[in-house]
Amino acid sequence: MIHRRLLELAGAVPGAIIALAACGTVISALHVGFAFTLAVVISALIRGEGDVVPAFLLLAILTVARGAAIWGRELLAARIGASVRIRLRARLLDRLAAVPAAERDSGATATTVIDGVEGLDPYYTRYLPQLLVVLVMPALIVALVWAQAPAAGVALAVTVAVAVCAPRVWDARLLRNGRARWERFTRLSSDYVEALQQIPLLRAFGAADRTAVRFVAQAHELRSSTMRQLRLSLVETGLSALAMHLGTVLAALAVLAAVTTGSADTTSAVVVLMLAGECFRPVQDLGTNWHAGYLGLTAVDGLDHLLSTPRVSAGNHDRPASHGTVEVTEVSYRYPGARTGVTDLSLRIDAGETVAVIGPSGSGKSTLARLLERDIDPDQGNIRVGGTDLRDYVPEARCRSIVVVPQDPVLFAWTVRDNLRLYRPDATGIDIERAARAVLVHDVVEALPDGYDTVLAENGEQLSGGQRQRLAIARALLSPAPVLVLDEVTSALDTDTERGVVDGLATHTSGRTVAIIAHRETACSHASRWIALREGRIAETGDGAPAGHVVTMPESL
Amino acid sequence: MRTVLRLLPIIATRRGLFIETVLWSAVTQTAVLGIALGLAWTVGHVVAGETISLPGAGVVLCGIAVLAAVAAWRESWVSHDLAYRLIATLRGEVFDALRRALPSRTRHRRTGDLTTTVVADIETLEWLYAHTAAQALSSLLVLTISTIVSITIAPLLILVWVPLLIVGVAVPLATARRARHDGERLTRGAAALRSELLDTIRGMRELAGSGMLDAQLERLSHATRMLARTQAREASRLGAERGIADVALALAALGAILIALLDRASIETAHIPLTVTVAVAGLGPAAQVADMLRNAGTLRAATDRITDVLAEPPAVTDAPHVRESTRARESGLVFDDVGFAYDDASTVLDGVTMHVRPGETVALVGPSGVGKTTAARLALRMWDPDTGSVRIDGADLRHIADVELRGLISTVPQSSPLLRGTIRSNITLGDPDADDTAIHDAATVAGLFHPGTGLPDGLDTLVAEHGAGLSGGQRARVALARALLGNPRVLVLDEPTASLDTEADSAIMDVLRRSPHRAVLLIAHRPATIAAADRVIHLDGP
Repeated sequence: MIHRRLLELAGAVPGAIIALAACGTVISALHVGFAFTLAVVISALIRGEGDVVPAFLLLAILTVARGAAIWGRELLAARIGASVRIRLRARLLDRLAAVPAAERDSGATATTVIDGVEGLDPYYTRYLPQLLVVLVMPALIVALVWAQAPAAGVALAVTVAVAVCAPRVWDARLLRNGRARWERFTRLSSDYVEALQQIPLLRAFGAADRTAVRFVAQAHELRSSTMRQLRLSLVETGLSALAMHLGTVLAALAVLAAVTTGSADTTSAVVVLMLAGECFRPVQDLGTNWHAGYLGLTAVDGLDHLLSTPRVSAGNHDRPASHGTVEVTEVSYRYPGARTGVTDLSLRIDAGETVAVIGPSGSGKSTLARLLERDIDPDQGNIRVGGTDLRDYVPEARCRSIVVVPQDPVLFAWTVRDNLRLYRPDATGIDIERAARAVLVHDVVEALPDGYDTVLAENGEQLSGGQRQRLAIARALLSPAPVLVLDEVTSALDTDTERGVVDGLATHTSGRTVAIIAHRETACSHASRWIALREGRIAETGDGAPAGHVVTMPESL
Repeated sequence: MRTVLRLLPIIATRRGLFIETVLWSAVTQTAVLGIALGLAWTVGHVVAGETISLPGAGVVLCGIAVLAAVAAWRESWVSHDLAYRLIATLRGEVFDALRRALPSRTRHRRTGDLTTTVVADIETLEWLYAHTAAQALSSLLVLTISTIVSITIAPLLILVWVPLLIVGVAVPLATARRARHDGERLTRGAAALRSELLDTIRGMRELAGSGMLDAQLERLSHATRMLARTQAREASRLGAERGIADVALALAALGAILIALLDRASIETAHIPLTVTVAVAGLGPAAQVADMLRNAGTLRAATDRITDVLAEPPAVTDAPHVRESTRARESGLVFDDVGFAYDDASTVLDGVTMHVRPGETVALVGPSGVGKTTAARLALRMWDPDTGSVRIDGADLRHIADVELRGLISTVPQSSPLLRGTIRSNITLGDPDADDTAIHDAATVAGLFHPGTGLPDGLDTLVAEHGAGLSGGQRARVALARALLGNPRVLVLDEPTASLDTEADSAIMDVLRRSPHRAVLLIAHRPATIAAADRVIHLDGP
């Protein structure tokens, strides 16, 4: 079965498929040549006449050629398979960023990008080429047999046709069942990922065993689904095996009948015996390759879904902002299915200012941070940084214009040094240390087994929440961007550390525009101005750092 | 090979299916051999001019053909049923091992790595269970038949196919080291790729916001390329070995011809086709075994990783029946001279003693990284302390059955992690059967229905991966409702209100203090939050 969408997905592979098919045809032809020559030698031996030495030498040559051709095909298939995988995976990865945050499912995506792509390889490198071989070789062999004994040719033609065509009847259904199986497989993998990331949570709530029980049920459902699908495909295999065995037997009997009536000779009989098996070899290989290949076919939905995610548009302004002015003009944004967001929000932060953004939970502070980072785009209005609309920047320039440290920063399982260099890959050791010292995390890093070269556990699990937050701030401090947005980045720090970090920040960000989103007045003691948000709108503004009562009693606003 | 053998005993749990697979496989292989030999025999005798009943031969051979097809179908059905049952069982065992072993004190393995084991590595075993184990056994039968036929028609024939059979098995054995090496690299590479990909998606905001996304994607592509290089190497080895196996089959035919040529007198004319056929068929079992050996590298690597996970020691071991140490008059949460270290190098907690009495809220404060979260985790019995003990109402946590313990204690973990689903499914994490009133009460207390919280779909609001879709404050409230649902005796709160505004914070602290029976251990930084506690304990580190 040829899946047009899959061919499109793989890009320019027809040439490669034809090359592999040619390889397969050569190997099949070598098999046929060998079988034919062998038959001639055997019949010569039976008749006890003729010189078999030249034929014997030919057999030796064919043997070597076949061995070499088989090796060559494997090499070629591996190479083509690798290039298909590399290209397809690159195209899938290219779309990752376009998936909206609320729809991200890392486990499922990983299954699509890793297992799905891996499973497609045999479809391109085994099944499709073999399909072409099957179109050519069996017909050729039937013709050869026909020439020896027409009745045997007919027997072979009929059974081969059955072996090739019968399984196709179920292909569509097989594929449908297969998709259901793939869906389950993806679901299960994705559930494993989430559970394994959250085992402490599950254990704390006594939910780990319940989860385990659920997974066992899911694993067994996956098994039933797999078996449902195998029920069809194994019947297919059985049918082709039946056609093959019967075809071989009937063709041989037909030629023997001809021998007894004198219309065929010994050679014909042995030739037919040897060729009949060869006639089914490509068909059997097709069956095997189909089984290896169609699992990949079932992954096509996931691939297609990811590939058809529209890319986030970007402008072509390729120079980072030269100054840190932030202008938010009449911006509205509403989360799908939620009441929160921001409404008709306008504010301006001048270059070099440090402004505190305060307000109760759900007042739109983090939404503002996401908007400034262009993690989301406004429904209405526009945001300009350095005088340019965020949507007009090329991504690289936008990243060098504004940096946002989110509430729950993610650290990567890289070295501490590489983590700190995230926003400035060319930062020197001195730069890195200075940033780390500024936010009081240098000593923490030094205490790790390999200092700055310590490879962090996933999301920096061996660190405390406050240590993680400080690494994330240090990381942002290294960025050359003129605008820095800090979204509650000191929430996990004790008061003393927080004071030190806030002071360090103030010294290291002089001249830059800083927006500090916070609940505590201690987090924004260096602010020259404050903006209080309430229900997605500006409720009040003031000069200087927000006084304790403003932060603690937002009801009064 | 030894590691692979370690996973064979699991077959014993499905002995019936395994025996059936062996039987059908034996029938299939014998029938296929029977067709080949029968045809060769018939053709040989007819062309040698002997009269045999063609219809009779036809009926017998067609009968065997039908038998071969039916047996092949049955064999593959039973063997796959066996394999997928074993795989499902093994998945359960591996996840069980992990849920007991995690969180690990020292060995931080990445999620992608573990997921690869439970998803992909186990799937590799399908090949062992469905296509190899039983077939290797039944091929012994084929070997016996071939030997008998060979000896009957031309004893010298053994000299042709037996050496080739040995070659067939020896070649994959000779390359086993490289196969193992490549197998390990492939599984390790696949696991690393998955880990890195999971991290990329999780940290998408950081990567996109720092302009490093392209570099990271290139890193992933690079990993794919490195993986592809190993795969190509592996394919080259497999291809060469397949080529050699194919040459061996051809050589068997040639050898048979040679014997027929040299020893013309001792072989009947009618047996010449049979001679060639049996020489080739004799190699069948070798092909089966060689195929197993060829793939042993990948199989071994996968098996190693699976057994490695299965051997992970549990984070804590249950001993619920030893209860003699219960101190009858003690109530609330007690840390008694608790010492704990993640590894030998650094002690985190040393001689920590504290007592949180029912009705009391105790704030645990101290600089970040001093071990507050570790203390919280010990209270929740993620691990047991190295020295001293943690007790609830006088009973050492080590002696409380897990089910009971989870009913006594609950928590709001740091940064309020949520699971995919709805707010309701998150709240009922500890008790899926909780009634609506209880859920409603917990949610109300946590302020989820407060208009400012902004959840129009209420409890049915969808929660995406890592709590995406909710704000920090909303997440904190859901986590709080989840902790309150079972009305626990002890509550461990790790910065529960860090992302809430002060008003919401104090409202919640008020509610928490209302219960006279509950002991609350609170890790907090905000002075106002700390001030709401009855007592403050400073943790200064060892």
